[in-house]
Amino acid sequence: MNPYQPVPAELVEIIEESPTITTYRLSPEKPIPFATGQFVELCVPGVGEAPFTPSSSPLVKEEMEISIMHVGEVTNHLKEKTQVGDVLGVRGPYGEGYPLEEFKGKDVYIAGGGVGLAPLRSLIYALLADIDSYKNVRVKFGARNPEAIIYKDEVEKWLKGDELELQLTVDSAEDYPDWDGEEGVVTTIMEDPDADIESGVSVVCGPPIMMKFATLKLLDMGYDPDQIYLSMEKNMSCGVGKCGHCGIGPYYVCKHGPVMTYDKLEDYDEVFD
Amino acid sequence: MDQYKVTAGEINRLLKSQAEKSRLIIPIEEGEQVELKEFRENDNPSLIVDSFRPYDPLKTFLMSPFEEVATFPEKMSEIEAPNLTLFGFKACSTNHIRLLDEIMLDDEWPDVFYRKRRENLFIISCDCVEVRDTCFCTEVGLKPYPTTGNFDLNISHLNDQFIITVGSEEGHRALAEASLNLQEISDEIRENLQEQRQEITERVKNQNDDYGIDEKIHEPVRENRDAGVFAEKAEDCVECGGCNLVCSSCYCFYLADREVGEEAFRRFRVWDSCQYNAYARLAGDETPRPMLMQRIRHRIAHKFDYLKESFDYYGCVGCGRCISACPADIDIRELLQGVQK
Repeated sequence: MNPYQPVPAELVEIIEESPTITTYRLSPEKPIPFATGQFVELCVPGVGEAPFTPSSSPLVKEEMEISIMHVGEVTNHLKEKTQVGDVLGVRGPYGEGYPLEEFKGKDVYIAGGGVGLAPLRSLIYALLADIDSYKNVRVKFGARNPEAIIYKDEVEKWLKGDELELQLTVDSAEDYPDWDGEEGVVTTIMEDPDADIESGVSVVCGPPIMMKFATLKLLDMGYDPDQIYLSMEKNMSCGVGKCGHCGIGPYYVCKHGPVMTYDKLEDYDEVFD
Repeated sequence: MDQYKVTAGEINRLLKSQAEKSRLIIPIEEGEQVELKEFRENDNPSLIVDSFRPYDPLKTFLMSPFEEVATFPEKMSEIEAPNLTLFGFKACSTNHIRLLDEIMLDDEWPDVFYRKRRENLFIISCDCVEVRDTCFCTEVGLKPYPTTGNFDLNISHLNDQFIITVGSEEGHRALAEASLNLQEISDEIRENLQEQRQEITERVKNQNDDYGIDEKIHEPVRENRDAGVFAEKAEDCVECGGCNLVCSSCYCFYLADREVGEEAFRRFRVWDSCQYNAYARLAGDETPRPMLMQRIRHRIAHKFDYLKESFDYYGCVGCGRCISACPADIDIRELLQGVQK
């Protein structure tokens, strides 16, 4: 099979999540089953490709959702020129996702920021589908402001339900008088005396600066580097460990990641740059 | 490995036989450089056996600099990869087919274009006879004659004799098909060959003595990331990427799409260089290595630390192509020397 060949995928729905983030629901010509945390290359014909971890449940095979922050050439083109019915390209899935088998029986402590909730939503779906297999699932999520919180319906549902413990915070609620939740960056709500740190696992996904400080916070809380699962983001062109761009030390994020434990990365610079 | 003695005329016969069943590329001296061209019948085999290594890296024939690798939405047809014989590459070039194979032919997502070319490639390498001042294979743990396989036949020129070493089953078959007059070699010839190889090896070693490159160069490369030499060389570097493009070991590329009508495109795999600022750039224009000094360090660290850790050999064969190519006269040996300080 040609690893550089995308599969045509019809765009079936566009969901505005926040002023800067949109979810695209795609129906690939043939199903592209993925494990939660793996990524795909989404291709806008003639414009280019970019890597994304699907935000939908890995249990849904026929369709996939990809949540995108509009910051680059491909993503801005998606926002400005793409409509329902357009045909995009998808190839993958690539890399290593979250090792759910290793999470079983353990406390799962998840820290997310901004668009980082996209891969985490997929992970949360996967955890909820088999929630009795995990001890406690705690999710700490931070957004820039109340308007920037994505997946508002799901978030609402998770807050009400008792299957997982979700706590939200916003960096600033200055212009949002209705916000009655926490204010401050996500690390300010990352304290849990009840969390079983010793035999637990932690997961971090978000913008690089958030990942850096959340990782430091987790280390501070007592997690060992090999208990901290990071969703790494680097420039990934081929997706299959050949083109070189996403290298960190001896690893290619596309092949050995994107989900990688911090112990593999801590000795290399540029991890969070 | 089996070895036989043949005459110059027999080598010519071998080449003609290969030319009948494959495209045959041989080196030819053009001014100071050695270029590659299609074989013609009256080419003088002893000249091409003794020539210096070709200017172009061998990877050119396995993953071309600019190549179509996908079309959308209609899939492209499978590529044609006619049989190809490469004659005259040296051990520095053949050594690192093992690295290219490792990267391009992984079990999960093999590069089908590379695989097809690789399957149809026949390599007749030659021992080094000429040593130029850019040669330093001995400083990265290699020899100026084949030691790591990845050739089908190798030719050593010893006085007025030629010795063929067979490196693969395909090599045996090619000899049989060319009906060469193969003679057993005596222990004396074997010893003479060893002596000649030793002598060439010493010449390469001696001319690199002043650089004093540590056998375990990966250690200082890992430990001495703040070495001043990176910033020093960054002042001279013009970011042309030539060092990567001519490198025997570099394999980086990017995928570039060209629009060809509504919702349709052609995708090309294009060689890339980690010395370019855009190489590791992310959406939003952030890059982990905004400074040229960081990119030069990355090139050295990837070759001498990361690949060593992954595969237990360096991502450098000491062929010196990057030294010849650099318009700023940056010598990778000086970088390594600087890292050791």
